[in-house]
Amino acid sequence: MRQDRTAVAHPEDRPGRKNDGGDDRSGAERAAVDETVIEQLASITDSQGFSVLGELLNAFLGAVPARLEALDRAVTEEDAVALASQAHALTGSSASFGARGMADLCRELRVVAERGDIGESRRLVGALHAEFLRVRAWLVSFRSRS
Amino acid sequence: MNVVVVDDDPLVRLVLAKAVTGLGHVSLPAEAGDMALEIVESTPVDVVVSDWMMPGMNGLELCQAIRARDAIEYVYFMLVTALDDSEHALAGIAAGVDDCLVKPVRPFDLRLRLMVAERVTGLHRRLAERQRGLERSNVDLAASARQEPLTGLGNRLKMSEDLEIFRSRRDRYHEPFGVALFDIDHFKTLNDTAGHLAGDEALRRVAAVIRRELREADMAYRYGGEELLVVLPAGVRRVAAAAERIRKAVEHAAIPHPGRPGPESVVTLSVGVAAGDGETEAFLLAADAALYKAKSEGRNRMAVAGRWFAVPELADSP
Repeated sequence: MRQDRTAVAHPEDRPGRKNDGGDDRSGAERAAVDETVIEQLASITDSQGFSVLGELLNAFLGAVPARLEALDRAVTEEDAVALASQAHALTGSSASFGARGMADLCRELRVVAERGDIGESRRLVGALHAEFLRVRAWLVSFRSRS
Repeated sequence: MNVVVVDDDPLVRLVLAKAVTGLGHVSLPAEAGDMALEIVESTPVDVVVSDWMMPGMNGLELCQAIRARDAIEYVYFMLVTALDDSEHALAGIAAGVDDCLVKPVRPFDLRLRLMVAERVTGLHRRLAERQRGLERSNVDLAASARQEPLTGLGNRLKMSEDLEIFRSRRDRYHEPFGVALFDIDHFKTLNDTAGHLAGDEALRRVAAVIRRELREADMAYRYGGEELLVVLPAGVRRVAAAAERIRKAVEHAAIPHPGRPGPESVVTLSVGVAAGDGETEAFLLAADAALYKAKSEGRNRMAVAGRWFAVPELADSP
């Protein structure tokens, strides 16, 4: 049960991070994506030396909606077990792409779902949808910048 | 290097696989521990980078399964854990994990750790190669320390070891064995007439004929100067038959024996046979006495210990 802390953003894990809005999780002022993580991803190249960031971002942006739909279904079906495991699965993905807000919400959702609180789960899944829109907007704008 | 990347999350797996490939390695993605184990068992793998928590076999169990294999090649194992998961990191290292990475894995960290992994696996590979070389030369040494160089037959060391095995099998499982002691007739004359090199050549050719006549379970040794010993897992009748077969085969091989008295100037053998119970030393003494008997009766013949007569009729039995 320690895995649920995976995606928590720790200051020591983010040396030289940018766009840090502080520890206020709910604060909309915090950037949706930790840019240092994306810069790390941008350093990954293919065998010809070209960055594979575009491919990675497409994979992320393509995969998340289906995961959110699965969460929606689990809420509708009031399936707390599915909610918890789907939330856990999305935690690692979100953290890998710097989406700290999403990762935090996933972590919270998992705890809430394990408690069997469907009402709160529904609210958090809604928040995840909104947060993903922020993340997508951030990533799309980053892609056009670089 | 061949790097197995194990994570049940396809996006995390994709990022790790791309990072590994980007660093010039071959990435072998696996979505579960058992799949990773299958890859390790079927492909040469240098490094495994595995998530800790996965459905089914977890990262630690995967590491233990890899370490439990009986393989010389070392697999460098990296476990990916949560940042504050010191407990699992400690348990992992104690169970054979080489390195722990913190989630989410940063490509730069992966690059550093893979450099270390490359150095360590390189050391292991060189060690394994040296080990294999040592084992090979040990086997070669053990064989050559038991081989007589001129004839290629076993030497006295090999003979005493084998005789001990034959004796214990006989005593324990009642598997009979017997010995046939061969001596080249008029060997001194051959050496004196044609020189020691010709003597060596005759010995070598006789040994070759003997080897050809033996079955797999039969053994042959250079016993002394021109004396060759054959040991067979058989009773006295079959040992005698084999000895007679060998004697005839050497005669028919028509190995030149210049200076030999008599009309035929080819190499012939006298042979003494002994089998049955008793200590091996007694066996060899009896065979020696029988050989002496065969010599004194005119050479190019066989004598069986305990039966002071030659048994040529046995030559045709299988």
